[in-house]
Amino acid sequence: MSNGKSSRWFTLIQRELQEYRVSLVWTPVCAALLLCALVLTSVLVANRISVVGQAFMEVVTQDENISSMNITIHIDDDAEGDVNYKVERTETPADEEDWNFSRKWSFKPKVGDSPAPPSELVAAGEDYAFNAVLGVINVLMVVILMIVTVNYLLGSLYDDRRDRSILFWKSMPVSEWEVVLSKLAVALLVAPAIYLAVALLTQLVCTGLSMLMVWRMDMDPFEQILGNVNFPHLVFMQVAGWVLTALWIAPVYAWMLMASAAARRSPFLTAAVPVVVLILAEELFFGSEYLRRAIGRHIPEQVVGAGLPVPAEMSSLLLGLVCAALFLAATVWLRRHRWEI
Amino acid sequence: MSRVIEARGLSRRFKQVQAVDGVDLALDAGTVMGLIGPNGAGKTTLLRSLLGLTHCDGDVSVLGLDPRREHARLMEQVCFIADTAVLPRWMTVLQLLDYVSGIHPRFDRGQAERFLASTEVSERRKVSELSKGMTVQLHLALVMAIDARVLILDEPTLGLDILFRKRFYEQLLNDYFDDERTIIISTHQVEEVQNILTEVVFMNRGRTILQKNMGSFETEFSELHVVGEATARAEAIPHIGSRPILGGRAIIYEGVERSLLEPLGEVRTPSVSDLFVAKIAGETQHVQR
Repeated sequence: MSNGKSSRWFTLIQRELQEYRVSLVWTPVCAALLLCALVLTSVLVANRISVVGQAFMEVVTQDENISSMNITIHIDDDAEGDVNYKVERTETPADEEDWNFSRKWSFKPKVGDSPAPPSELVAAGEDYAFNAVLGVINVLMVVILMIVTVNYLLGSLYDDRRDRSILFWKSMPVSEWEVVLSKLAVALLVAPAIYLAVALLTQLVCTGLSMLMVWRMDMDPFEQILGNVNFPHLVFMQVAGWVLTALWIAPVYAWMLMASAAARRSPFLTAAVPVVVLILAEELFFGSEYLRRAIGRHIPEQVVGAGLPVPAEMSSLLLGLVCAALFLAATVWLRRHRWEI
Repeated sequence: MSRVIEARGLSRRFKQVQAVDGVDLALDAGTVMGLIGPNGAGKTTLLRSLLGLTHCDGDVSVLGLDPRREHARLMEQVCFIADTAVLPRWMTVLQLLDYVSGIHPRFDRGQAERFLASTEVSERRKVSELSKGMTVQLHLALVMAIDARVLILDEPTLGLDILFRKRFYEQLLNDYFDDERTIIISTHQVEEVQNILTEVVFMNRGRTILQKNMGSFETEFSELHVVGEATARAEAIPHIGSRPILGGRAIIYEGVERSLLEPLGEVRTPSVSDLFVAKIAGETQHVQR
């Protein structure tokens, strides 16, 4: 029986990966290949254009510069589908409150100023500057992951109702709880596992390429690169970082599933409009912004860095998980009783 | 024979329309029931409430389960094709087979593959690349490979050409049906199903207006073809409908002794479609009065 159960779940997850193969499998692979190609190009030009190589060495070896390395990602609202990624190095440390409610996400890998490290493994990582460089790859992958996941969640319980294939899915002996939980599991566990695994492979490849570059610059790749990197620590930070992020973001994902199950026209508007209206209404009538702050805590501000996002407020986290459970129950109810468009 | 479907006082109201209005239904194993009615008669709503896909008032029990509460468990024993072309279009045939064999405990993959081998549906193709007829064949192959006790088909052949339709019902009857199974087919293409039915239910405006065993059809209903002066005498006998035929009229009676009609003209058993037309026309007149 347990064998039957696990094969059931395997089938349900496999189904999701088949339907969203492009966004869940091919997108991370292509992004990784693109990153590797970029690094390879810089390796090839590094010893010709010495500035590139010097800048690279600075990043690899000097801690102080890491904390002020900033990645800003602008998603341009005007040109649909045109996403610009901009990686820039700034000399001034980034502002802590750089988070902005518009679609501009800021990610700051923190090494030097992270609070008391929770374990020796974390503490051990602070000396490895190259970890932070590799962390950038992970940050990029997680940003792509989140864009893809939002799209996945908003479509997953709406598309089958629109094309009426829900009538086929409902003819199979699968309960709506299983359907909804399998989709949440893909968003919180399976897709991140794929993206993190691809990120890790990319990091290994980039490490190899960097060693090649250092070697071509007539330096010792083992000392310069391998001496500055700690893979167990890197993996631990990335996996643990995602687990905490997943706990924080679960209510947001559950809300999107609910919007997808409730939507009659646009799942995106169904998800966004009530939230915006409630926030504005609260500010207008009560002059407070509790809701905005409560929601803001569950939106990825600093998704992954070298620093572990320690849950500062346990109550907010728990409240979020309770909300997630309520949203899921509502989603299942909608799937059972209000599935016709 | 065991009771498979039992419904009492089934009702479902949408805002302005009473889609299903107090329907009682009882079916035993080994029956093929035809649910026949005009568009908007409430057939789909009735079938969906039997499947637990829609909320309804009244008591329903299918195989001893409550379809609204135990939908997933019920689906292990009940199959349905709710409409043509509801198979997920992004899937390939192979992925579909993988999915059903991973999910359905009573699915025999080998059998589905044998069914498919006799069609032009190849396993590598996507559902979206198949013609409408092929999609229905694929769906039927999946459903027939499931060892279910009840099969519900809601307008399964709508929009298909006559060759596909004939083959569909032949296959259903020859390769699938046995004494243990129950099949419900809703359609308004009556001629094609009437030979395979054991039970017939007419539905109009949410209510059942006739519910008969096909075996009792011959004794209960008769159609008289009259010409000339006998017509007036024949029409004087209470009848449920009449229509003009070449040179005279065809009149359908319910519960009238055939020996009484035989002197007036040629007596035969009416076809299900003629009886349906007579019944629905009678209903409409009744309502207009």
